Amino acid sequence: MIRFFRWSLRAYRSLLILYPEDLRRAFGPEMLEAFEYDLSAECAARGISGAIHVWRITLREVVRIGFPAWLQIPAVAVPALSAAALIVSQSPLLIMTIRRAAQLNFRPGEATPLDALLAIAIEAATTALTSFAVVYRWKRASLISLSLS
Amino acid sequence: MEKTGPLQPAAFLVLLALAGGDRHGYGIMQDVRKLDPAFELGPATLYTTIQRLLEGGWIKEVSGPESGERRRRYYRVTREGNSVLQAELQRMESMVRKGKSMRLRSAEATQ
Repeated sequence: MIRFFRWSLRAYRSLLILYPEDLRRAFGPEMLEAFEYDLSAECAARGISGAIHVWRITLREVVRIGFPAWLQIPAVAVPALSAAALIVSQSPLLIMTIRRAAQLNFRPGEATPLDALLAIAIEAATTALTSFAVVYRWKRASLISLSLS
Repeated sequence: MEKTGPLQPAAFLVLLALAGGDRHGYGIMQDVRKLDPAFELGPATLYTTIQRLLEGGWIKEVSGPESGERRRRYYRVTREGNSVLQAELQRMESMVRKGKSMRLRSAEATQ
């Protein structure tokens, strides 16, 4: 449990990067402290289900507060939207190949579901890496100066 | 910050917790859990709310007692924040009264 607790603190510290920069700068150490106390209290009271409860709230907050803030940054929003558009545009191909696979109706040279899935995964990974490179360059200075000790 | 409608649940609960006295962040979190156990308040929601309330002048930062090596930030409701809270409580009270009278009337109609 102690190992899980330490891992949770490290994970939450890393997750702070997903929250808006002004919030992180103003309250980062306090957010980490509140998470630590909350997790500690819940683990003591309810054990593993308490820890799961804390993590469920935390991950929901990342989606509700962190992601919308990041999507306001063009360098993140543009690659994210293009990745979403790519997945949507490629999904008919995936559905078609799954249907063919279900009917066992394959001709040589036609794409299998695995081919389609692989193509989408490669495209999505390329988009993710591109966005990461852009964000990393943009955010590196603020990441270095952020102290959470 | 101008109040243009009902308060957000998180803002209402944070103000209500602070109405009981100065609190630090985690103290507010604990009080909110006691006030409304169904409301799930995590650190990000708490501090986003605190940030908005500070910007709006509804709460302010005060120096609290030092505990060990960590110096915690405490928060206090301002006069403006208190009047907003009172107005919200009155609004809720009036809603509850209306709701109860409606239920009574519909119960009378079915008899």
